[in-house]
Amino acid sequence: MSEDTFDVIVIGAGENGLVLGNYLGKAGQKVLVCERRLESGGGLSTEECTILGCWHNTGSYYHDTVQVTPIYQDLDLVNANAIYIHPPVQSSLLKRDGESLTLFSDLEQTEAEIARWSKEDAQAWRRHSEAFHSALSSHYQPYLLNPAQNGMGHEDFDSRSDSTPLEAVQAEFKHPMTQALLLSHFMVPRGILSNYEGAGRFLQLVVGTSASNRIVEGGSHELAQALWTEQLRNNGWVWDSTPIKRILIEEGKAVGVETSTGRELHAKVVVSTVDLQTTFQTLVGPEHIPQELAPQLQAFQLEEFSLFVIHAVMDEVPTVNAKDDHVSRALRWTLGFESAEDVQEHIAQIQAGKVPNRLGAVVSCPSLHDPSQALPGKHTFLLWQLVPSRLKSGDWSDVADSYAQQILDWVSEYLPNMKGKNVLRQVVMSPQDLVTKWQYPQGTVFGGKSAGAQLGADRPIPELANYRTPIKNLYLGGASMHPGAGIEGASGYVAAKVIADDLGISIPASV
Amino acid sequence: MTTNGDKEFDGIVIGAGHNGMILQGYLLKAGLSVAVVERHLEVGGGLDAHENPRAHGFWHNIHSQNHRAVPNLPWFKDLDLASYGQEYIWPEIAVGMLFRDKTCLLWHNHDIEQTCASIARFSEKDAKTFRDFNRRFTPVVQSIIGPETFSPPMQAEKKREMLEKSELGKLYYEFADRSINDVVEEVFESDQVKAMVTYLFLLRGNELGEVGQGYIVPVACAAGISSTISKGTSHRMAHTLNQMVIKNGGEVYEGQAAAEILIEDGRAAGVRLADGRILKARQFVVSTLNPQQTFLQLINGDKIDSHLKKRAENFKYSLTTPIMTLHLALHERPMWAAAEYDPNVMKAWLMVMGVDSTEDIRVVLEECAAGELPQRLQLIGGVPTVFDPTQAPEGKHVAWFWQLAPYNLKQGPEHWDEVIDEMCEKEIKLLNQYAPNINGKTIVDWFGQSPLDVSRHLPNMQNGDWMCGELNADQFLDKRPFPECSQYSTPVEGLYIAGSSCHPGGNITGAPAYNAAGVIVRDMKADLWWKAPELEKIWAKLPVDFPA
Ligand SMILES: Cc1cc2nc3c(=O)[nH]c(=O)nc-3n(C[C@H](O)[C@H](O)[C@H](O)COP(=O)(O)OP(=O)(O)OC[C@H]3O[C@@H](n4cnc5c(N)ncnc54)[C@H](O)[C@@H]3O)c2cc1C
Ligand SMILES: Cc1cc2nc3c(=O)[nH]c(=O)nc-3n(C[C@H](O)[C@H](O)[C@H](O)COP(=O)(O)OP(=O)(O)OC[C@H]3O[C@@H](n4cnc5c(N)ncnc54)[C@H](O)[C@@H]3O)c2cc1C
Repeated sequence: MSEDTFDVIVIGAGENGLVLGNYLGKAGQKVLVCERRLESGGGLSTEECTILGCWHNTGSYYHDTVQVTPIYQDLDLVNANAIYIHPPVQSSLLKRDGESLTLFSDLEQTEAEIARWSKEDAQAWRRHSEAFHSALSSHYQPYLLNPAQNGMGHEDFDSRSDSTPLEAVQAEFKHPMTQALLLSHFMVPRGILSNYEGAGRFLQLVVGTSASNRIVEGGSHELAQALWTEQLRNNGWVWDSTPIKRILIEEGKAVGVETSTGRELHAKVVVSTVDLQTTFQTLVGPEHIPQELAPQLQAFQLEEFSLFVIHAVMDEVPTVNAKDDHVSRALRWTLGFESAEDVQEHIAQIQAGKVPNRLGAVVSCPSLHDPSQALPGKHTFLLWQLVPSRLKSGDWSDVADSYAQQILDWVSEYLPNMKGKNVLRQVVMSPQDLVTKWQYPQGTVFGGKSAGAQLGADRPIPELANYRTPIKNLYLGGASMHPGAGIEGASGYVAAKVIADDLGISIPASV
Repeated sequence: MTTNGDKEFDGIVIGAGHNGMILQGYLLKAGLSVAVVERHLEVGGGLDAHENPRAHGFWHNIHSQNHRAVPNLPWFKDLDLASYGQEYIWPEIAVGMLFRDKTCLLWHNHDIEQTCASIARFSEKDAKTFRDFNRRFTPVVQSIIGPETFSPPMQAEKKREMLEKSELGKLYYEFADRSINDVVEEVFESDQVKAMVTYLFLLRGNELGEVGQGYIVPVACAAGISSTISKGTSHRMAHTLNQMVIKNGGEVYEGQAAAEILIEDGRAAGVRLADGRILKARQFVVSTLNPQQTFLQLINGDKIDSHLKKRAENFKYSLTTPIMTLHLALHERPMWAAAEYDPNVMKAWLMVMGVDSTEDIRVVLEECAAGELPQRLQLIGGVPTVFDPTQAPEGKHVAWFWQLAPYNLKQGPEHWDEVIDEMCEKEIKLLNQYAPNINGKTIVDWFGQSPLDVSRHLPNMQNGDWMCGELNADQFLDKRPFPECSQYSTPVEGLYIAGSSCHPGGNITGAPAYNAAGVIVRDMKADLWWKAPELEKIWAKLPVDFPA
């Protein structure tokens, strides 16, 4: 094989691109993964963006589904030095009056905690959690790890196929705090808003995973390094700083890619893991888009929100204004949502394209759980809030700094020392930054709205849902595909399976 | 070969800077199983680059920028690094000295005649001296300096005995027995030329007043600056080395500080990681860190003798290498005012401002010694995107400028966090005098990095000393870091050292690693698969008279 010829070329070295490349590499294919940026990993990004010696997860931070899929085990990533930390105090909803509701890694503890507020909810929590775990290998894994179907053959899941998360949550849980906490877990990290039609089906998945948040020791980028290393070991290559300009198509078949410097690389199979619009409008090019596909692509909807992110370094560990001690040790704090109504008001503002003044955020102090992410004695801080990806009026760059200040002032009502001299340095990322950093369209990070027809067998659009495209030898992976965004590598895994099938080879997969 | 599952290797290298990974590459190719342990999430040490968090797509080289002749170095070829896509760019002009009167002096990267022509505008005599040195010292570089850099250092008396048998060797000692300052004062007449030569050595980590380093002046006239730029940022080179290591079957433990070097029965037997895991070494452990980390922090006090401890305690860091850096993201490249005087200045790579005479240098050194923030600012830096547009978004630029500055401020090093921004603002004003188009409108973003940040980031660069130990007469050549360890082995069996604290010191040279690799491979009786220079043989064959 010549230097510029491979079996498989993958566009994008995010988690999905690397997972897919790893599986095909293990199956004996010579794989090249091409990455636009200097650093591979996409949303697996950890950087010293405030002061040197303090590391911030500028993309994903905690991974709640990574243990649900077999990828981590199949690829032996622990041996490649990606080690997960699973903090015992997982997620606290903190009210302004200092009351709180906390999820623990231990189900008994969670149950007892919820029971402080509602015995019924505590029982419901256990019921759904157990139901999830008992259906995990029989239903959820096959669902996540195959091209999507409309139903899962599981009653709870299928029966909620038309309901919104709000409806599902309100049907099963009674207390405003339980409802708010769950709805916030739908939003972050799953990117599902409370009024997304059909997404109520994920209720048990969310209950079952909302206390399994894991963070990577050293930062999320460690997972990228592990996948990168394994890719190289499995007969593969990752070329960083190699943006792909277009996919080479000859007689309706993908035959390779062209890099931004005009170098042509050839392969039997080309896979794009970047978002759907970029794949077709830019890389394939309008002239190669089959006629019947064009209107469907046009109808594909991005989610209407993006993330507003603040990273900071603190001189002292955040103090927490909570009546219960354990709250200060929680991996994740949810602020601003005390009931489902709070969540809905917040979302209504986002959907109206306004900079939300109904604040509601997920915050964390990563260095509390992994001291290696900060300088000795210092602490890192992370805040995410959902915001509209496009403002009705104005531009993110004009408002970002003052909005960040408004948010931090508000946060200090919950975390009193999160202000003044204790905040040594901060970096703000608005949706605009997510566009320029990763080229996520309009700053949307979830690969397309996870609602209605874009869920299940119709994701992203019916014509493409089986990971193949009308252009022969061109495949799709990535967050636009089922089962969507999040660090679980599932769409990369499914793409690898589909490609392996078509190539008549088998991938070493345990599921 | 062991698999990584049982966590046992032939050898373990501590620190995945360029030295650590180059060393690992040589050892792997010699058939040894080797893991490297790196405290950082990213490998590369001084080969680092960060994306600007407020202006994405702008990449800033956080530490090293100016790599010297890397594609010509033996390890670049031996390890076949070009095959990993690593490219280096040679700027046409290595240095542009910008003077207050808007004149400039240019040191070309290849063309000695052009350099001399630029010097001649300040002094015909100095141009002649420069050309003369270039001619006379080219063989000194080839037969003495080059092989010495890439060999374990020879014991000083023996070296003198060997070299003084030849005219070349005598010529070498004629200058080696003096200091850089003395030689510069004696051989050059123009303030500007003296300033250029002196300042560049200072910034390269040499100690100007130390007897023993004066040969560097004529040697530089022969060897040139040899600037090269790693295409796609300096960190791209770290990726290249990392790939080379993986493709040769090596293990890399990133994000894992070494917490202890395990000594069993007086022998280095492995490394304990900060998270408690243990990596066993069947044959050897190599530290690329400084001797205080290696012997005082990583080895349990009662495992080594007090003499070695004393040696490590007395190891000195330089007061004149620490620098602060101003990083800039720009809408346009700086347009040097000196272009009117010499339009070629626009093609120069390392730009120096505020150094018109050795007096300017004397002042800043005094300030550094006193722990004061420099008042008379002097900048050296450049605009990588002029040579490699990939380091910023299309049509945009990144630039950096270093300023010599003390680590230990009178108010303590922590004071840096309070003053760094103010210093940067002053530097931007200075820059504006030399490049009037650089102002609030053309600057997208800027940030500073202090000597304190350097050692927070890389603790082996203690007190901000990126040389990892002063190059004074007591820590130079066969005495670096101290005589007992100058051959890369140590009094502890199975323990070796190989970083910038060893001969020939810091900078992206890979030489400490290259030299240590030879020693270790011989000791392990493994395959010495590359052709290393044999210093004794080369020096024994030096012609008595000057070469024709
Ligand atoms: C701020 C933020 C926080 C998040 N938090 C979480 C979280 O806590 N938990 C969680 O599970 N998920 C989280 N996510 C979502 C998660 O990061 C993504 O779902 C995941 O990274 C998707 O992986 P991917 O491989 O599909 O795409 P990406 O990770 O986006 O990777 C795509 C890659 O393709 C590259 N690329 C783009 N164009 C080209 C081209 N033309 N040529 C070559 N390469 C190209 C990109 O540079 C990128 O590296 C978060 C995302 C963001 C942005
Ligand atoms: C601001 C600045 C600018 C510079 N510019 C230049 C330049 O332009 N040209 C040039 O040639 N040189 C330059 N240098 C110097 C150059 O960067 C260093 O001399 C060079 O990087 C030294 O290489 P090394 O491999 O010996 O050490 P390093 O590159 O420092 O690598 C040592 C590694 O060890 C790791 N480490 C430390 N402690 C531990 C531990 N306990 N366990 C495990 N790992 C550990 C570190 O994280 C690091 O990765 C510059 C330095 C600085 C600070």
